[in-house]
Amino acid sequence: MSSGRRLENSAASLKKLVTDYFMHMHAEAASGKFVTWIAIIVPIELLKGFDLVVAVPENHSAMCAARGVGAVQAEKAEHKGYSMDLCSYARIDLGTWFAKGEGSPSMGMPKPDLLISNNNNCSLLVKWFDVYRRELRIPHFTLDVPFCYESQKEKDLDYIIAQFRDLISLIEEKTGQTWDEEKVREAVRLSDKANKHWKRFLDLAAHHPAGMTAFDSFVHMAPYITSYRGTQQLVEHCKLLADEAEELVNTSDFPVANEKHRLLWDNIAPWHQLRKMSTRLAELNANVICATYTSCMGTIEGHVDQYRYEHDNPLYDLARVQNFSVCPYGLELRYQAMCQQIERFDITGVIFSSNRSCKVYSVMQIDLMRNIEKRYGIPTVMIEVDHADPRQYNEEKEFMKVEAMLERSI
Amino acid sequence: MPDISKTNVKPVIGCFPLYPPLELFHSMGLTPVILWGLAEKYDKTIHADQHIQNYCCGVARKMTEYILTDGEKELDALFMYNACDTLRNLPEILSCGLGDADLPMLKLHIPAARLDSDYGRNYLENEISNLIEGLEELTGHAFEMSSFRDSVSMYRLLREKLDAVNTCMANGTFGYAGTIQQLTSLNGLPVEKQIEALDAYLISQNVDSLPEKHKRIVVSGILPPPRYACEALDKAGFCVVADDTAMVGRSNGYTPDSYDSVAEYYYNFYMNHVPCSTLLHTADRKVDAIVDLVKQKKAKGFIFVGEKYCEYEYFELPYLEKKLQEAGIKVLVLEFALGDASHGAIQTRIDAFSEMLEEAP
Ligand code: SF4
Ligand code: SF4
Repeated sequence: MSSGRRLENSAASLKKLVTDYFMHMHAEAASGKFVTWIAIIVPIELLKGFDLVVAVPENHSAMCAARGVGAVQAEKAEHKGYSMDLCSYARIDLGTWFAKGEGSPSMGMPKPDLLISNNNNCSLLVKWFDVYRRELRIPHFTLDVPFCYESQKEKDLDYIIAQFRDLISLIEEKTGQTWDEEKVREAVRLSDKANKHWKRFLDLAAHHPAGMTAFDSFVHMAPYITSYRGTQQLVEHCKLLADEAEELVNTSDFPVANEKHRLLWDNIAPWHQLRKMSTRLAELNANVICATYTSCMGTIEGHVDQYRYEHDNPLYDLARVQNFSVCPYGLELRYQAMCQQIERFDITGVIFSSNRSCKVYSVMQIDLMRNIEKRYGIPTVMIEVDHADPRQYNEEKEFMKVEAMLERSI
Repeated sequence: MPDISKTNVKPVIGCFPLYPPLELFHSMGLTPVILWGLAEKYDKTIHADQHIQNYCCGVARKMTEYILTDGEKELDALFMYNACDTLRNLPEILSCGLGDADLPMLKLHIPAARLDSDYGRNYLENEISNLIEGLEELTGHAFEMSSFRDSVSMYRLLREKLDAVNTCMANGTFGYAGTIQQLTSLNGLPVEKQIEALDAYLISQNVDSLPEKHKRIVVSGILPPPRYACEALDKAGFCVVADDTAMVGRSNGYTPDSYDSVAEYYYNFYMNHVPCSTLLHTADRKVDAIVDLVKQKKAKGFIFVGEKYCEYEYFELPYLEKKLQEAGIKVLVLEFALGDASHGAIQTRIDAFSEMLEEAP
């Protein structure tokens, strides 16, 4: 394994972006700016047509989990009666809210004036945001995005665009601002640029040994899922990341130099295990070189290649990519996307992380696993990992399953 | 649940979840069967476990077990509309499990957000038109408005009968366990036979043998409790004055009165549906509706029947509990999971709740 100095500049850029994000968010909210909380795949670019503070609870929960306070914050929600069977992101976020930000590395997020959720990543999110709607008596706009068993249909695209227009009217009414389409067009253009660099970074997995790890991609997706989407800062960060990673490949500095196992990860990042898991895998000459969770960024359903925002109509493009993340599309499309990754990156094994918190991601993995084993004859394994609640993860037991899979692939 | 294949001469369409357009299916010459209430049909979920994880709710696992085991034999088609996060993945999982079995599936997306908007309404109406096209292709029959009206009348009558049964239950002339058993046994029958069965059941009421019941409660959840728990409620002297479960009260609470088209009927049907956590556009009204129901029925207690892993219901529980307690209503939360054997613990909690209500003013 290479030294911990990998991607140093990108790491510094990431740290700055994330710190600035939370600091500015609190400062701007304190100065009276209108605060919107959104679900991750609500099109942030569309909101760039306004002057808003945008916060993403899922991102905040992931950050808490990665910083080791996931369980503590989740317990605070459990004490208020929220079942431990509910998604850990929701519990962490609600716990932080009930504790008025205490225990969160960012002291939580500023109080919202408007909530925007969607039901295509999961419909649990709608219920989660409804808790705040009732507590704070503020509007909650839900984008209803029909689930895709096949590529998005025209009728669904039109329906989503109609909802975007309704959302724009609501924000105009609540803020007194006028939506600036030109700014949104620019944001979409910048997202397109950032996606290009992001794909360039992910494609380094094709190298033997791979030029990156999925763990790198988990960490560096953070700005993408905050309000940096549609900004020049994100373009610069993704460019820096891709350039720096390419440079390392050119100097033969690889994350797992003696790479024997090239693995694909299916599910959300195990935030509380990133370092431990990547280290333990590297010791076995194994590298998780790609993940469905991060390869979907910048794509549309069933694909891993970049979807180009080439239309002059930003609402069209933003509606078209409402299914970019994995959860809003079905088994067949997910299978197609995974096959593309397996073939492109010479995958030798697949880890399906069965995550009881996230049913939308996990339910269907058994069939995916069976179909992939049948088609490619490569070993696969299913391990139980909650992405944000370490209490629902038994490291030794689950890692043993991974080791057994690696043995099968030799 | 009766053996579906023996009780039906018409093609059967198995539906999930609980609020499908039954009248439309009936008018197209199909027998719609809601694939719920299967808890007692299978001891294990061996086939389902090959496809979905054990942290999915028992409802989804039992239904999957049924479709994979008996689906091809007993059903001619499947229908699903969008509901929770577990169910939305099921169509393709079922296809994997069914392999070459010929079981066509129709789908409908009910707008989950602003059904009151023009775009929400248009979307739903378009979905209904597409569904009709799919049904015409499936059955070979053309849709006819007059048949649809007849089917609506039939289901309206069914819901009236069900209402009468609920009234008897609220009066204490029917026990809860017997009523739920009766209602569960109806599923799988054509609507005409369901009406006959309910008529017979209503005649069977025996007012003379009524025990004194003063512990008035409302029960809510996705499914009514399993039989042993219903029996425990009866034994403890509870009178279920309203069953707000998705399978009973929420399913049968509303039939639109006037409509000029099938699309208008279903717009009204979903728009004004009894609030349910699974119909997102109605969820806003749910907690208030429950509190109102409890007050209107003069219930002293409320029992939440939790289906383990049902996020929709559990997310709303803390707020619901808070509102009920503010209204002075005692709340008991029971949780049921597939294969759990905690009968004794449930019984004890029911008994303790009974004592608590006795002491309540
Ligand atoms: S259930 Fe899954 S998609 Fe939904 S909020 Fe949780 S982690 Fe995200
Ligand atoms: S009980 Fe809940 S989780 Fe299960 S199928 Fe119904 S709505 Fe979904």
